[in-house]
Amino acid sequence: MLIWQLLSMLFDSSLLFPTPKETIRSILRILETATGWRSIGATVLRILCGYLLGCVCGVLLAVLTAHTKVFAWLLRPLRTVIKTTPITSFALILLITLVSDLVPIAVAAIVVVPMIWRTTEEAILGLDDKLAEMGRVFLSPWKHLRFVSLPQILPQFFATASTALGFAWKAVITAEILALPKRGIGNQMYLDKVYLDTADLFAWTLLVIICSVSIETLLGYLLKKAGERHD
Amino acid sequence: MIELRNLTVRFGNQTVFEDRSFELPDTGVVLITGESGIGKTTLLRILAGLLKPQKGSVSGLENRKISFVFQEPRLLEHMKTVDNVALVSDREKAETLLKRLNLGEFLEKKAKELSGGQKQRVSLARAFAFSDDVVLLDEPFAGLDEQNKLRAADLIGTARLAVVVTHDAGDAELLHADRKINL
Repeated sequence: MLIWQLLSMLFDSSLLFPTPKETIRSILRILETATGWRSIGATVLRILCGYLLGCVCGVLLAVLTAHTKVFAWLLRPLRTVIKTTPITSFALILLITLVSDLVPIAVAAIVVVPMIWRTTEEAILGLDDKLAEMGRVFLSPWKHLRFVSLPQILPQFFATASTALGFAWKAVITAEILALPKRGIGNQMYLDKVYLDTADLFAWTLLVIICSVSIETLLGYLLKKAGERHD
Repeated sequence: MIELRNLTVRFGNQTVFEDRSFELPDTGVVLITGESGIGKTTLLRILAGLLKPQKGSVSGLENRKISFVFQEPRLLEHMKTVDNVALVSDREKAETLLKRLNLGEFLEKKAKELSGGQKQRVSLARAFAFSDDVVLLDEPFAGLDEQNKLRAADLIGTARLAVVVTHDAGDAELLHADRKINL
């Protein structure tokens, strides 16, 4: 905060670098309006949808490629392509085919999929063979999954799932700036950039950080609770 | 009669069995002995259906419930002792068996907190909680003291058919085997 204040004093222009006070005033103004809350709500909803979609697809692909050599051979190059293609390329390509409201969701899912896919696949391939054999003798498939496989997979999955959420935030905001859906934080940031409203731009950035940290903390807590159930 | 006919098992270049046949009775205690690496564990794994031989067939185990005591305890370390056993049967049976094997005071302890010998006894209790119809045991006395070996041998004797792999002649004597197969 002190560095921020010093920098704003150095620039001496709220257009170039607003002071913390101006930024906080902007945050309060945003939070007083329905548009502000709707924008936050729309972005959070897109992140959650994209993130969950990415997690589900990532897990399904991991199960497929971990158990079937043909699928592994066919699909692993796709993972490399997804991982190395810039988010902006995906957003722009998707803009041609999808409505702008859906582009950020799709982009978030695309960012999350390879992370979840790789971690889950590695966890499945790293399952203890001896415990698996024990499970085959004594346990039903459901009990095997619940008591033998999941406790080995979940710690790795949870660690990556938490990181992936942060990436989903970045992806959705970037995609919103490019796709300009009806509502969203990205839209507001784009408009602030156009109208050179730097204080609002800083305010939205700070709001993104606050929302991201809050949701990540909440997810971390939920994942920890879920992990304890398997302990 | 349980029949294993014309078994051929290879792991890479190593041949464990080449056209070997074995017969086991339906009941009693069968002891399987032999040098290390000769195929004792492989034979148990074939009987349990965990390993499919490249050639040969197994008959006489249809409709029988097979249980296994592995060389290592293979417990779910994050779970309580009693839950490891109750997972394959019910809590009452699990407690009875664990108490019989002198583990009454460790019921609520997590498996990871037990010693090697205690884990081995939990593994034995789990096998008998699951089924005492056909119990396959791979070095079941590993890490047990004399008192606990006697308790374990006593429990093994209650199985309808127990197939026990051991390399220790002293342990073999404890079991009063009905049949001995030297590989």
